[in-house]
Amino acid sequence: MEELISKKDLLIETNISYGQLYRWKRKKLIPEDWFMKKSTYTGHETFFPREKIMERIEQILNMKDGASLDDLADKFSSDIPEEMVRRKEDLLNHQILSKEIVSLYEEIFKGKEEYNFQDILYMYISEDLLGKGQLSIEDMSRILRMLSDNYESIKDKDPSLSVYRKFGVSISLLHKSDEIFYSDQTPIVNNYSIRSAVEKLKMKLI
Amino acid sequence: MEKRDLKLSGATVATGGEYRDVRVSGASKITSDIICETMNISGAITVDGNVEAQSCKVSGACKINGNVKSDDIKISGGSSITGTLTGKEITLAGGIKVGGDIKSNLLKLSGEITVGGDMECEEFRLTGGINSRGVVNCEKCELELAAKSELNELVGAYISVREGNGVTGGIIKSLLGKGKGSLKVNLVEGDEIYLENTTCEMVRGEKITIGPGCRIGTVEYAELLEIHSDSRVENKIER
Repeated sequence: MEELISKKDLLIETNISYGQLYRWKRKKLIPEDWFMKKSTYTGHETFFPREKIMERIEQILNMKDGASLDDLADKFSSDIPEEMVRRKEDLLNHQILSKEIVSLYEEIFKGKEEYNFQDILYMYISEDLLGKGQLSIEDMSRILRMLSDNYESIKDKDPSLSVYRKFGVSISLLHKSDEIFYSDQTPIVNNYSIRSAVEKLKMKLI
Repeated sequence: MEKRDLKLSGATVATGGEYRDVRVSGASKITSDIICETMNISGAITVDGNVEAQSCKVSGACKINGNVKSDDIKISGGSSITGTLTGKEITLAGGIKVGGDIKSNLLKLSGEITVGGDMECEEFRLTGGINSRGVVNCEKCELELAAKSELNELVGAYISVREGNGVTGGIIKSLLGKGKGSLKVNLVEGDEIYLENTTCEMVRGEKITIGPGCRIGTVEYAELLEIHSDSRVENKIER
């Protein structure tokens, strides 16, 4: 169970005001499902997942100068930025992706000069997962197909990926983050958060 | 292909679709989703579907069974919308019922408004009365109450709740005949808060002024707390 922090303590520890907190909530900088209502002996109190909210507030406060709240909101949302495209050289020069993964994808998308956010995201996730050495390229392409077919409908539900393998057959699950009660196999990919992959990539790109 | 206009009057039934200008009056019915540039409906119109328009004006006793998304939404009379309202500027006047959430930059309400869901906006102005089980979250909120009102939570940066006076307040009050304007709310949280005629379990904020006619359970404040002699606060906690 993750550690929680009450709204009151959060405001004291981070030195922000109610106005700021609710402004960020309206702008979707803080996801709705981080506001957790619980009843306490003093009535209802709102709690947050401590680690996540502290990190997020630090990010917001550090970037506030210069960037508008709407820019920040784009960065933290789970939406795919539609207009963004990057050339292969940009991706390599800014060390967003490794040469290996880009050349692998180049074989698949022959002659493609520019990549949109979704392409880059899939390359980014592939690099992360293939780097662990447990998945084959074939597994990876099945996972990406499943993800791209379903992304729109699950993006706001904090999706995670887990992969199991038995007798050489791999089984992939897209599920809500941290919400598998039990499985009798040890996953080769365990609870890989799609949301944090999107966020990390946006941090690098935008 | 050039988009067509939709102009109906009387008691006609039309299907939705994509149009340029939509102007419907009388007792007509639109049976599916509609996308258009301007939407103007009046009378006793029923829309069974979602509305997406650059501007949307509804008057009379219309019923929209769906969501409305438009930069500029103006609804007056006794209309009801079962879904959500999303816009940049939303004005509701009269006895309006909204089933879902309202999201807008500017939200202006007058009359007796009922909202089923939450309200999120940058600026919220109300004269009259409001009833909502949802949360109101806005940067700046000014309520001028002329009728008994009820909200679940009222949160944001600047919050002001006053008993409505002046011309509009007087007219609405005499029309509604519901006695003096007051608010019942479970929680108020903000940076700067002014309350009048408010009954509330918990008020939290930086600078809090409790005006006349309030009954408050607990106030948690940081910088300033002023309480009118006519009001009662059970617990005061300095943060």
